[in-house]
Amino acid sequence: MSKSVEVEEHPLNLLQRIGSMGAMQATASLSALAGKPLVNSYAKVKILPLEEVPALFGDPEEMIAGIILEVSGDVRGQYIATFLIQDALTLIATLTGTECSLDEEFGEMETSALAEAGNILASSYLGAIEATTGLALAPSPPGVAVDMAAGILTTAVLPMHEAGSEILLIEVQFGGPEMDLTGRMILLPTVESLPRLLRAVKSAALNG
Amino acid sequence: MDERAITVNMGQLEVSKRPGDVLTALGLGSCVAVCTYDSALGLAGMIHVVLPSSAISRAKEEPAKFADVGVPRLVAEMEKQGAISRRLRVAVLGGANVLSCARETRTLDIGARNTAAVQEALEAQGVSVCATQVGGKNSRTVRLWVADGRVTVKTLRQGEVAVTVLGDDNGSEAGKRPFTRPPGQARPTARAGGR
Repeated sequence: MSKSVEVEEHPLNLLQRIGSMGAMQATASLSALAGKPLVNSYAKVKILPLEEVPALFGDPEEMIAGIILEVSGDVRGQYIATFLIQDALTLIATLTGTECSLDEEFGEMETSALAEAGNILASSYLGAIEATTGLALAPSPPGVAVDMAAGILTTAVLPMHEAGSEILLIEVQFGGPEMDLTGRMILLPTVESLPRLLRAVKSAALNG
Repeated sequence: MDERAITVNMGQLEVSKRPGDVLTALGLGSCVAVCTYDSALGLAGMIHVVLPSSAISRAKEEPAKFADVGVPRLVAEMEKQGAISRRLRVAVLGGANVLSCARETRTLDIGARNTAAVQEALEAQGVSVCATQVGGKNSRTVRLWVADGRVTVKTLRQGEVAVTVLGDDNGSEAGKRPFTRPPGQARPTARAGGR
């Protein structure tokens, strides 16, 4: 995989560009919703062996909130937004206007707030790719989990792995100076979708 | 003897008879840990099953990853070190579905499929299961103490809880029982069907 990606130098940059363009739109939407500025801090493309997935963010047992959507249409894959638990609580408090704590299991309101945040992030992210490339991308309804990082990350990745795809992550981190919030977005395209995605981004780049 | 955690990563298999070792599978979501113990030898084994079947996957390079080929391999590895399969005591843990509020059950409830495939593979080996804790919504860290076959499950909500002691032959709690769920564990949602 890494070989085929390196055939010419551009594809990794192109994928990085996809991540950045999606993330810019996504963080703008979330920022508008929260009423506070958010910026992208980096976009990275990684090809991971399966064993490294549980510890992608550090401690496999770390509690995180994850929102997972399946992507269908011209490109298939998975979209994941993750927040460390403290950031998830900040996000929920911002969106719902009420404080929540970890003492009780998340109720419907907290879960819906996270699902909504995931919807907004995913549809802006995918919408930005659609607008630039002309590809049609449709996100599924979100699934939400508040649990150990390893459990959530493997749940997102395994359907792709089972289908034989490389685990290729386009990872974006975002945060805000006025809002103590850091999150990550990951797009996992299937191996079949990758050439189409690359072609579309490349021609969009050539056409300015 | 000093306690030493041996991490059993995704798709890995570990066997140990060093009494200080603690075989550990961290943060199992849909994955399943199969713990085996032969108390006559103080020999413990664990496999970290990732997917149900090697037949439908293109990733064949690591057979311990799949329930259908990984479980026989674990039993064989135990036997290679002197274990006798009818003497083996087995616990099966994991196979959760951590996502909630997806509008419909995902077509791919890998946790339930993993659990069913593990059960089927164990039956095919003629090995019965002493204790299970499968399904539900929560990720689990599973530990198996080589010293006595103690098995614990840690979740973020409940902390670490003892499940069984595989080395305890007459333990009432660890009596040979088919797949049962502890109270409060949700029933796994999908039926076996991945094969």
